[in-house]
Amino acid sequence: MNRDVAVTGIGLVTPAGVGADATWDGLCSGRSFAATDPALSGLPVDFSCAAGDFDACAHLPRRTVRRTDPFIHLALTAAQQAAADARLTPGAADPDRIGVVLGVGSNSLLGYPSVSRRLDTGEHHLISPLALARSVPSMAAGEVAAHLDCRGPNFTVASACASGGHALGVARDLIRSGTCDLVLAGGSESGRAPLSAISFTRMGALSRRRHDPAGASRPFDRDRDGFVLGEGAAVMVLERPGHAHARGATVHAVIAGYGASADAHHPTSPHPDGRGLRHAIGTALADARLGTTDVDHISAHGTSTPVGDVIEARTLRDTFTAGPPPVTALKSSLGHALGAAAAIQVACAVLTLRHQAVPPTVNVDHQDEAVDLDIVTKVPRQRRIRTVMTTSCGFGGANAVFVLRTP
Amino acid sequence: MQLTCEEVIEALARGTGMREEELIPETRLADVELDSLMLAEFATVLAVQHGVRVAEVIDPTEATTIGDIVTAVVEQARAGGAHAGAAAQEAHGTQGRQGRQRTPTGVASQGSAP
Repeated sequence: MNRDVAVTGIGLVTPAGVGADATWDGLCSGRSFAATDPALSGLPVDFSCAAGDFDACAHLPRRTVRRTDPFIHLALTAAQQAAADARLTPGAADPDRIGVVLGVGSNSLLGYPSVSRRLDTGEHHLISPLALARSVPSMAAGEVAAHLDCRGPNFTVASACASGGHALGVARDLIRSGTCDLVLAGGSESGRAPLSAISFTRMGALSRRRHDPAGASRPFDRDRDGFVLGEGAAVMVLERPGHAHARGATVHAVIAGYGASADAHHPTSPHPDGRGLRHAIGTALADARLGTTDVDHISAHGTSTPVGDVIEARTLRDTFTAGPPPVTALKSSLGHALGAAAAIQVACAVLTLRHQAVPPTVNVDHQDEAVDLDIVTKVPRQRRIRTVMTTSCGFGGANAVFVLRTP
Repeated sequence: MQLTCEEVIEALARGTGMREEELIPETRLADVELDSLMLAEFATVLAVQHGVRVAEVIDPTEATTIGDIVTAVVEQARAGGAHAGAAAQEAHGTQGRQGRQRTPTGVASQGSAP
């Protein structure tokens, strides 16, 4: 029995642009999309990677935009793209057997300060009745289902910055088990709410390179000092390869392996030995029935934090005993889209398989001596790529690893 | 407190995300799928922007027309449904039309307002 699950549709909205092609071109341009962000004006860290080209009203009904928060706009737009890419037209499949599983890292925090002020002053009648409905994570999957008539399983996975990965993993299993014929899966998040920014700033997680936003996200570089907040969404259509062929859909790539694990260590710091990530890598490779030497490229979590990058690099070096394949870190270019980031990595891994090229890691001017990896820098690297691994980690010690292959 | 029909229509458009030209007096709520949640949001917009409490005079049943709502709100405001004061001043000062911010995705921010 073929255990692989096919990716037949891709939708992407990122700081590099709206759509898979725009995102790919942006990644390969070798630039960072970080810039001063008016939404964060006055805060200690006032820059981010915003999806600046994205106008929700250009893609969605105005009424939908009015009653939902940006993470839902991003998810809906990416889902529409994915459905179109997969030729998922009405009647193409039984709606009862189409699921939606999305990863969202946290509630949208955009409106909470206003609600909090109203609570403090007792002006309860001025609190929007939509305050909750527009911001709870499950609404992204719910809105996608309503717009695309997907009546199968519908829920949201929350595991911080690994959310989108775990959503894809659960979706993969819904296909493998025969529960669904198709699942739209991925992640969405807009981390640019001031409450989110100040929380990460107080935590010491963000880069403070205000004088040089474009140089702030620099995974594996010796001068890195934290990550850059981003936003975006990636949604993919998953189905069995046979199902895809039967309905004439194009298989872009297959998910051959998936591994999930916990560090079981600390709320925010990865285990110093990388034991959780190592476990997830081993599980994903075993699931794919492949060895480390079969992996042609790794799309790393690589957030640009001083501690996290070194632990990840050491873990990859120790796990891939014959030497890790070329590594890149997309967050150098796109920033950190939190709950969407893992799904964006997977979607871009599919694009890497399509284009047979590894996008560069931006801003690696002086690779950290503690990072003994072949980091792809400056320009894309063309090479034969049949198998890609993605690694993603989240607060709480959650890890999600994927192995993707050409069809 | 006086509210003009134009002001009510503007608030209705803002509260529901509909275009003002879609808000025709004869149109029934059922025809444009306006539900009670969106009408409650409209009432909150009126409270924030104009200091008027109108929630109790809005009939959310399907047969109600846009014209019914506008008339009811204008009459309620005239009859003393206004609660002008700090709320309205704050609305105009920080959350009103002039002060409306743009969200990260370029859409008029309603996540933080009203």
